[in-house]
Parts: sequence; C-alpha cells; structure tokens
Amino acid sequence: MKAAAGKVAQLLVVMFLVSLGTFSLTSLMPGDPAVAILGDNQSPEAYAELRDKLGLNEPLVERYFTWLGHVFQGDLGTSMVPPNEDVTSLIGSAFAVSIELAVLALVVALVVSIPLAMISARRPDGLLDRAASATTFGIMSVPSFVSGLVLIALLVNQLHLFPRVGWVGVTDGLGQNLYHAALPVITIALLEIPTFTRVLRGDLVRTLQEDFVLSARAKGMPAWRIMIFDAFRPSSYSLITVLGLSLAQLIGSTVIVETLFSLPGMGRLVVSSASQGNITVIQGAVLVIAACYVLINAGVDLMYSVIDPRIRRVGA
Amino acid sequence: MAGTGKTHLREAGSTLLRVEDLQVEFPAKGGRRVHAVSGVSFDVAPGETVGFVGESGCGKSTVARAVMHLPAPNSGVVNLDDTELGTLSAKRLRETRVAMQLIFQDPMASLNPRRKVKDLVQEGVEIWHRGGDRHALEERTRELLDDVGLDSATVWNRYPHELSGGQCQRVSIARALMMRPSLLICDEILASLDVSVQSQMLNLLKRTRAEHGLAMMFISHDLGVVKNISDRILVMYLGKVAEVLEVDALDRETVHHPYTQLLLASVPRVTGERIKPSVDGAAQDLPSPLNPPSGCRFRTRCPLATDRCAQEEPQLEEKRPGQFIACHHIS
Amino acid sequence: MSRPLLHVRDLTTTFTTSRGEVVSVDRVSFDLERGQTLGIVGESGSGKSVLGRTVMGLTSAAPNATVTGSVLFDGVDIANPDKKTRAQYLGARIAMIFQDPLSSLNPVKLIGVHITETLRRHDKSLSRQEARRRAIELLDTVRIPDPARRFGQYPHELSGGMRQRVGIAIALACRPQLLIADEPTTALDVTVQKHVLDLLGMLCEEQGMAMLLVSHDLGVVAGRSDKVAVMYAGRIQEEAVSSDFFRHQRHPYSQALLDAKPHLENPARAELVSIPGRPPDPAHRFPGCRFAPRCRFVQGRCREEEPSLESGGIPSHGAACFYPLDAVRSTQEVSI
Repeated sequence: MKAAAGKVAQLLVVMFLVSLGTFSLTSLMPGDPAVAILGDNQSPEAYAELRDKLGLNEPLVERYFTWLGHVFQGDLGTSMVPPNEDVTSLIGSAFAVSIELAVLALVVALVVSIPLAMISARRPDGLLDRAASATTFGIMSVPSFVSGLVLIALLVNQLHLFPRVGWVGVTDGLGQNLYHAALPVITIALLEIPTFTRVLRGDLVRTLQEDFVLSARAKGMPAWRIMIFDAFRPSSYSLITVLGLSLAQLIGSTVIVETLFSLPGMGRLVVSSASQGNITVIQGAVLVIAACYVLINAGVDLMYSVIDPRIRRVGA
Repeated sequence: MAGTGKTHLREAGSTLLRVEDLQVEFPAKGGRRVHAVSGVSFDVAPGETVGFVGESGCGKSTVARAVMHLPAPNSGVVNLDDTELGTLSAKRLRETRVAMQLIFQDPMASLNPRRKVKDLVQEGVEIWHRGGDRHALEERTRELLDDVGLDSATVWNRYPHELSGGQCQRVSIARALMMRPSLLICDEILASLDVSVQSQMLNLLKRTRAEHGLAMMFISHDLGVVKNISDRILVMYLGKVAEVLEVDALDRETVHHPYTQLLLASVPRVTGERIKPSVDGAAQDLPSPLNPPSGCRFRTRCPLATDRCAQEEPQLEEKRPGQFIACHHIS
Repeated sequence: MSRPLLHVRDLTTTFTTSRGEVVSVDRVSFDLERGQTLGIVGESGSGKSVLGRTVMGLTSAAPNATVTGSVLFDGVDIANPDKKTRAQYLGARIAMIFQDPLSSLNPVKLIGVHITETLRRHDKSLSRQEARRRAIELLDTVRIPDPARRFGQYPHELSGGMRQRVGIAIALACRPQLLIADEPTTALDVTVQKHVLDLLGMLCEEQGMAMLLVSHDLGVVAGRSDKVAVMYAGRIQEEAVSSDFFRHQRHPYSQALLDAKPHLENPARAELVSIPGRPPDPAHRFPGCRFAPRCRFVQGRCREEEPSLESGGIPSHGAACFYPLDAVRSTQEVSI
C-alpha cells in the first residue's frame, strides 16, 4: 500500500515536470503568435494589443500557473487560428482517432506476432523460423508510406474491399468505423509485427531452455500446452515493454499514415498547428501525449508485477 | 549458536590476521536489516589454514569479503600484520589489501572473458608496478603457471572460455600468487569442480601454501574438504560461530556443538549397507537472518534447547582441549 | 522369472552439434527390478544425466538428438516414444525430479497448480476440488508443513529444501512405478540433502517405486541404492550390487573416484590420490578403453581394444576392464 502511494506521488511529480517542460518549451518556440494569428501586414499596435489580450506580456511563471489552473479544469484554451475552436475538444476528437488506431493496430499486431513467435520458437533455426524471420525482416525494411500505398493499390483500387480515405467516428456506427479504420490499422500493425515477433521469439527460445520447461515435459505436458501455459508468461516482459513504448509512440507520431489515409488524428493536428504557430494547441497536444507516456509507463510497471509474482512481493 | 566471545583468540603478536567482533548487516526491504555476520572473531597464524564451514546463509562468504573490506564491515576490527584496516585511507587500504588475495567459486565468471591468460595473470602486478622489468615479469608468470599445473606455453595466449573449469581455477590461483600475498582467501573454490579435479586442486593448494608460506582462509560447505585442508575449523551458523576446533578433534571421540553434530551426521557415509531412511520431524528451515532467534541462534533447531537458550547467548568457551564451543548444555 | 520393470539394451544417444557428432550415452545396458534403486554415478560429461533423460524419453524430442537401442518399460519400448506413448508414460508411470528445484518450477505458477495440472492431465475426469484435495495430500506426503497454505504460494517463497519436496510431490502425483532423480540434492545444503534422500528412500519403500538415482557423488548413492553403475565418457564402466561395490571396486576408475574424494572418515590432512588429467572430449573418440589415458594400471591392450562390461567370476559385479582390481582390495573397507 505504501509502495502504491509512493508510486502515485512519483507519477504526480513527473506529470508536474512534464507540464512545466511542455509549457516553457513551447513558449520558446520561434515565431510570434500574434503574427501567426493576424498575418504579417498589420500595424504594430494591433500586434501589441493582441499580445496583451493573449497574456503574452505577463511573466512566464505567472502564465504557467494561469495555464495550469485552466488545465486542471479541463480547459486547454482556445485555438489561436481561426475559427478559434476550443482546444480541449479539438484535441479530444483527434486523440479519440489516434488512440483507436493505435490500440486496434497493436491488437492486430499481437494477434499475428504471438502465434508467429511461438511457431518460430518451437524449432529455432528450423524452416518455419527462418521463413518467419525472413518475412518479418522484409516487412521491417518497407517504410509505412510504401506499404500503405501498396495496400491501397491492392485492396482499394483492385479489389475494392475498403474505402480509399476518410474517417467515420464510432458514434456513427461501429461497423462503418471499423470499415474505415481497417486499412490504416493494418498499415500500422505491419510496422509493429516484426519487432513484436522478434522480441517474443527471442525470449521464448530462452525460456524454453529453462529447467521448468523440461520438467513440464517430464510431466507429460504436450508441447503446445507448455508453450502457452508455461513459456509464454515468463517470456512476455520484453514484449510488454515494447508494447508500451509502441502505444505511447503511436499516439502522437503516425503522421505519415494519417496523411496517407486523411485521418484527423493527433499527428496531423500537431504538425498543422506547428506550421501555423498555434501554440495553445501544441501545448495541449504535447501535454496529452506526455501524460500518455507517463500513464503507459505506469501501466507497464503494473503489468510486470501482475505477470511476475516475484516483483509483486517486492512492492507489497 | 551464538557464540560470540574471544577466548579462542591467540596472542596478538603470534597471528597474521586477527578479526574481532566482526559485524555485517545489509539493508533489506521495509527498513529491516539482514544480520549476515553478528560478532565473529577469529585469527589466522602465519602459514595456517583456517576452514570456515556452515550451510548457505551462515555468513561464511560475507566474513571473507568483510575481512577484505569489500565492503568494510559495519563494525569490528580487522588487523592484518598489526595494521588495522579500518583506520587506513582508501589508498593505503588498497595497497594493504594486496597482501590478501581472494579466489571465487565460479572460475569462469571471475576471469575477464576478453583477456588472455598471460594478461589475466599479469594485470594485478602491472597495476601495482611490482613486476620489475618486462622480462622478469614474463618469466615469473610462466613459472607460476607451470607451478599451478598448467603448461604455460599452451595456455599463454588462450582465453578463459577455451579452458576447463579446473584450468580456470588454476589461472585464478596463479593470478593470486603473482601478488605475493601472505593470506589466500578461497571462497568455495572447489564447489563447481568434478571430484577428480577437486582432489587435484586440494593437493595443489597444499603444495602451494607450503612453497609460498601462505596462510589461508578456506571457505566451503563440504566438511570433508575442509577437514582435509584445514588446521583449525570455524563452524558457523546464521552469522555466528558455533564452534572453533583444531582439525584433529574430528578424529577423536569427543563432544561437539549440537550444530556441528548435526552437520557431521548429515554428511553421507560411503557405505554399502542400506541406510534405513528416517523422516521423523518435519523439515526445519533456517530462521530468517532478518529476524534471528534471541539468545542462541541455533535453538530453534537444537535438540538440547531450553528456556535459557532463548534468553542468554552462549559464549565460546574451551570445553575440550582444542575445542571452543558456544553452548549452555555442553560442559 | 518375472521381467524387470526397466530393461535397457544398447541405448545410445547422439547429438549433432557444430563440433560434430557427440555420443553422450554409448551402448548402455542395464536392468532395473520393480521397487529397486539403481544409483548412476559419474562426473560431468559422463553422460549420466543424458542417460536419465533418454530413459525418460526427453532427449528423443530434441531436433539434434538421435536415440538408438531399446528402453523396455514393463515390456513396452519407450526409447523413441510417439505422442500417445509419451502421454501415457511421462509424468504418469515414469516421473522425474531435477537438480535445481528453483529453476525446475515455473516462477509464475502457484505451487499447487504445478501439482494439480499433472493430476488433471493424466486423469481428465478429476474435478478441480478433488485435484486440489489430492495436491494438498501430496504436499503432506512429502512432509511439507502447513500444506494448504503452501498450495497457494509461489516457488520463490519457499526454501530450497521445500522446493525440492514440491518437485518430489509433483513427481509422485500419479504414483509412478519409476522415478528418475537427476542430482536431486546437489543444489541443497548437506542437512537438507539428508532429509530429501531419506524422504525419497521412504517413498520408494512405501509406494514400491523403483528409482534411478543419478549423482556425481558416490556418497549420495552409498546406502541409498540396491545397485550402482559408474559411468565414464558415455559408458558404464562398472555395475554391481551396492553392498558389493562399496566393499571393493573392480574398475580402476571407480576406485580412483572413491580415493579422490576427501571423505569425512579419512584422517585429517590425508594426502589424496588424485586422478591425473581430465575426461576425454566426447567429440573426439579414440580406440581402446576410455579411461586408459588416466589409468594407473594401463597396459598395451587397453589402448587398442575396448573392454566390454563383463562380470569376472563374482556374480553381478561387472567391470569394463581387462585387468580388474579383484585381488587387490578384496578386504579393504572404505566405510567406517
């Protein structure tokens, strides 16, 4: 219990530092927000007035705490670019898209890579292992815009299986939503499958040499059962680490895939805001992404202790 | 067991190493402390071999490291050749420590896998610039390698992984001897070797200590091995000394500390007669060193234990000639 | 005459490695009667552990291993078991315990589950509750105090001795007729070793179970076995009834092995007769007796011809040696 409280306190400190860093870094970004908003052919007075209105003339620390106070109320401010939307809802809808893409892609990647890794690990350097290794290596070396384009050419243009572009939210029907999400999800999953497969295969091969696997065989357990019930769980630590990292990364940086399929996700939001000097949006987005990193890391730690009773006891 | 007490220590002037009230604790989870070594005293005379025996967790390896000040003990006095190690500066300590050489159990793991045998043996001397000129250094290295039963010409440019476990252990010994130590500390160095190699190593150690006038601390879980090589034996239990005895006491009819007795009775005898298995009494686990029993630490497993053992810690006393026993019930 | 429980003939296990063909177990033959214990002793690389695993049918599954010869268990050849035979025998009629009790238990599985899964694997009709009840009973059989609590603990929460008891409980789950104990006490303290050996001896007696007791230590096997087989470089060099074997050894290697060990019975500071050199590389076989390069009594013939395991005059005391040590030590006793 004490350990859990310590963990939470640690998380809060990290979050505080992250918000501080986010805020000051974006304040240091080149370019004048006033110019960004008004365009570059207005009078100096107009810029000054706007800066004042935006509170840009206050000291940095004061601005930070004002901003933080609003953040706590769920208010990330308004966009600096017309039509000056509410940043919270702007990020909210983009985040929903990104998280759905990321989670679905990871699920697909796991569904493919876990069995693939198990098949490979059964006979290391066997025919299946080498075939799987060659395939994953091949996939790994194809950039996502190429694989995405190939998928589009094949599944959209030739077979007409999926829509070309666009996004339909879950609120407009799950079927349509998944139908539109399918191609980008597959494109992202292809990126992750090689890593997942390799990491898990390596750990499985090592675990399968452990004495407890031999002793499970001596108990008469069939090979597939040993693989799933004995070897998998103790072999999943690295996979979980990689999974956490991927999830955090996917939330903010799938710009290529989002662009390719015209999806309104976090990546495109951040990129377009950055090019417009839309500081409030960038601040909000970076904060949300950073928070995801922190929470996902905490989640990964928690998973370790769920999987491994030895870690569990240390925390207790 | 319990024993603290120093009646078994000999005159200060006659010993090479004198250790008093050694105490080592490690921090554990939740602010608790592992009482690894709690008040151990012993001495080693020049050229003498003292065996340390006891089950895993008795603190025998911790004693070795504390003597070397790797790291320094929490309290206690370690005197090597009338120099108190605890009072030395870090630099002086490092210089003095060279007179004690430690050899570990796992011969492969304690040798840097990326260095050749010749470099492994020479590196210590090179650090301390004690080798004299290059030629003399090489000469001495070859000599020592041959001395420990390796063919120096063959192993000269080999890496540890190209050698067997026994050969690696020989390299470790040559490497230690290179520093011209007065005390060799052997921590379970035979544990991972085969029987036939063990006996070769034991004979080698006996010859080496005679030739180099070495004193030894010989730490082992194997009572037979300890008996074979030691002059004196410390029987340790849960961070304390249960009994200190001259090795010859093992060859005569005598009484021992109940723990020594238990150890002696547990060692398998080489006999053709069927042993009638007896499983009276459930298996007893070693008590936790986080929270050792009060009084005599052995009382939880001792057939002689009484109330007194829980309240009063027995001291090491000379109960028989050449036998110091820490037990209330042996007179 | 009833047939023996285990009838092993010319069993050979070969591994294909990067260094070539390694014959770990080489034409090994022996019989084991019901309820009897055979001690198999040898140094590392002697092939004793591979022999145990091969009898268990575990090596034949390895992709780089070839097993030839026969292992008749109660008349059925299990040297190269198919899936069905494996399921029928492994863990049910033959069980095994391992050297390191910590690494042979799955760190993320409850103690109890280790046992119940074996029970339910071999008796599909067993209910969960019944399996649990039986598992706790088994923990009690191996003298684990407070078995119901231990059932719900993880391996790392137990001491080494307790873990090995759990290993034994798992092995006993289906009341096997044969237990293969591979260095069961090597990782344990000497006081715990005695308890575990006592326990194994008693369980064999109570359940009429036969045991292959594999160890590097003749002392572990002494007094705990009916017969002893000494292995060196993949071959059985000597095989005899224990009482006979420990009274006198016929093979120079067996004798040297006993002499090399500093027994507690020997006087203090005794000089040890060590065996010079080290065991031959299994990837490089040479003609003649495998012990010849290290043997004190080696003769010309030993380097040319390979001796086979023959009993020389004394019943059931075989030695693979042209010049066995019969007369030399007939009265000398090693034990106290």
